[in-house]
Amino acid sequence: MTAPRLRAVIIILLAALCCTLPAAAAQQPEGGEKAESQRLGFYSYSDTETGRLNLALLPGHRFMLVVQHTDGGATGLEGWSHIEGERLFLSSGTLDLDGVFEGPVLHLDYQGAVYPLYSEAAAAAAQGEGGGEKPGVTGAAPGALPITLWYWLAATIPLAVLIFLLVGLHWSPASASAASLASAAVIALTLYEMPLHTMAVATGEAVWDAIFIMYIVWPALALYSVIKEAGAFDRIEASLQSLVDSRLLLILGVAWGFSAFIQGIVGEGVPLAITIPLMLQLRVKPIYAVLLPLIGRTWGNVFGAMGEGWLLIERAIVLPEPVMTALYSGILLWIPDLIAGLSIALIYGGWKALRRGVWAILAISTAHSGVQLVLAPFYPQVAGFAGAAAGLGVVFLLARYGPYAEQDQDCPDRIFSKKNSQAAQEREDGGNDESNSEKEVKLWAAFAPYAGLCVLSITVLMIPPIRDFLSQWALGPAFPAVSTPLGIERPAEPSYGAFQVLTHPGTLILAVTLITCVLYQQLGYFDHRSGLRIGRRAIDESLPATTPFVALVLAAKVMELSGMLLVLALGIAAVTSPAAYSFAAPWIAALGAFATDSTSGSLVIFTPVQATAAQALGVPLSVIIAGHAAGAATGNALAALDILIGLLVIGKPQLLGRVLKYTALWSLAALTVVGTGSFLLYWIVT
Amino acid sequence: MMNEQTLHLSAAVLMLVSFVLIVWGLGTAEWMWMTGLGCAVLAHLCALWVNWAPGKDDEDDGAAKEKASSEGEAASA
Repeated sequence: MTAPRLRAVIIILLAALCCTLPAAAAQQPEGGEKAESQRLGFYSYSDTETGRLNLALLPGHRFMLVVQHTDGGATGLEGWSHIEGERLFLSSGTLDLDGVFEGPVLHLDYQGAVYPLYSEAAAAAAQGEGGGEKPGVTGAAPGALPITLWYWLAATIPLAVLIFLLVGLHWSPASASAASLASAAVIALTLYEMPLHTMAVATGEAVWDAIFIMYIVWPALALYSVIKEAGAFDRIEASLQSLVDSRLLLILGVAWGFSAFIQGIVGEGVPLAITIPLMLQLRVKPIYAVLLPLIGRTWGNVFGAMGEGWLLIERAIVLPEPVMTALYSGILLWIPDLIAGLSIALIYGGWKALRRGVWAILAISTAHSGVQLVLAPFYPQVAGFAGAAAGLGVVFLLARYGPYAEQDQDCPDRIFSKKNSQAAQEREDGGNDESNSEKEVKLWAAFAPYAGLCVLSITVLMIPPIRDFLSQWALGPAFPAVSTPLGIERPAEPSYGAFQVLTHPGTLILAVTLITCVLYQQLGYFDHRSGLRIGRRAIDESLPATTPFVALVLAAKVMELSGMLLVLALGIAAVTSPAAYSFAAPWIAALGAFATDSTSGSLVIFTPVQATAAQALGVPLSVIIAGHAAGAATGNALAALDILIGLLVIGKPQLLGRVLKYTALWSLAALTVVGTGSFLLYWIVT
Repeated sequence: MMNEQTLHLSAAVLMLVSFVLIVWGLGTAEWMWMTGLGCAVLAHLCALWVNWAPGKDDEDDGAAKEKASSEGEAASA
């Protein structure tokens, strides 16, 4: 299909969206009470073979659980359970909440409505009619989400549209994200019966999220421009190359080691925004400058950024075996770490470079994931950072001692820009006089912004008293509770995505940028006119990306609040056996990371789903959650939003489709191995 | 005819307006968040229009292809 025709398809989709809005408005429930009575704050999945009932409670709801003891007569046990991101497992005999309750759970009282959860007659009927059936996932409550092939296929459309237009047709991010959003909105409003009110909440939340993504992009762009304007990048490049003679080790150190080190401190696209300009300065072609750090930092997505990912898992569900789960997660996260190192060497110089770099890769990977594995069960907040720091230490040791202390015998130029390589060679040959004619940037001053950012981030984010003190100033808009007729419910958000003014990564980069400006001005590398020019450039280059950012975030929000994401995950869970599910869990997590553009999004939304499915299928929860964590981290390489942040900093947003194509291939390969690892863990544990 | 930068700015402003109307209107007036939703649709149409300028995507694509070919030359060299 030609591009104009596909553009016509977008017009039709948008027109359909406009036509759907009044229709959806007409579908708004007339009586509030009726809609209220159909809202459910839980999903239940029954296993017809065992009669076991699994219940996933959505975060932020209050439930009354009525439990009757069978061993002590009909005494009953009744009480409020305040659920904050936790999940309860219910079976016909046991309510598994820290082993407190015993006996059948008769019903659940939610917002005044009583939902029967267990009855002997129903259980007997289930045993008689479906006792021999394969355990499945079924909606067991009014308004439950339909897990059918039709709904599942419809839920894949927005993601397929995005991939197809970006990778297949090389559309610009703006056009492709708009098309993906339009398709998500049409499907949500029609098939998934998403009310307009919920759509409005999704839009408000998406714009709020996008504002703070831009708040990271602007300062990162400005910092890059300040360092470039002052000529400090040349100094950084020269000193890095004198410090690390082997170019392969240097690329591994920056793309794999340094990006993961930044990821260990702070996430949200910052590692890419900081590392990609460095890669570019090392004469790496833009597409590889983005690709290599993107895959290099994936392993740190769970225990990095102060263990943010792990904390999200712990907040989403009650982990029965937290130590073992963290341990398994550490083991499975080793896989994307090792594959990232091997892939970077392979991309750098093919099999020859891989053979040369394999010992360095094994050593760095052992430091990365070995330290993370040891620390993760006991100190999850610092495990990623410590692993990344150990990895950087190994890079410097290898640069000083052993075979990597010497220059590579051959320097493949596959990932390097030819034009830039020639310029670098000319500078090395005879350009010294020319560079000396300008005021040379001192070594400490060249590295000051990066060192300053690391020190400031560690101080602000990793020292609890300082972090707690600075985190108290937070600001976030309130959004009401939302629901859909299909049973999706999200509680009210009194302060959505609270912007912590003083600890936000954007503020840290902005502070470092301003300090760098003053420092460079004092040292004479930079004048105030340059500052104005840089500010103008930051606005000019980032403004066109505003709407694609909003479109990508909004498409993810629409998919989340309409229930499309849940259908995607539950659909896969419904058709797999326990063993197959252990393989599929990382794929589901990666799908979540791709759809929500972040590891965190996948962990927040899909962790309860994965846990419920694991319980229903009888797969050890620790294995599935570990596979989920590793899959979400690996799938982050597919997060279009993160890639766009990196590309925007270097002014190449049009490369999004091409980068996505490579990361998709890498993710498919890595997820296959992670899935196999998860399956082996399941096999060993069971 | 407005230039590209103005259209991008308009889209960004419309987004902000939609955000204000939605946040304000969700708790108070239905017309307000409905208008906000309309502003968001307009903002996306606006951004799409900019990227829809004849040959815009093709230019980007062409630039990417040109880059790819130069990269290919570099690799073969």
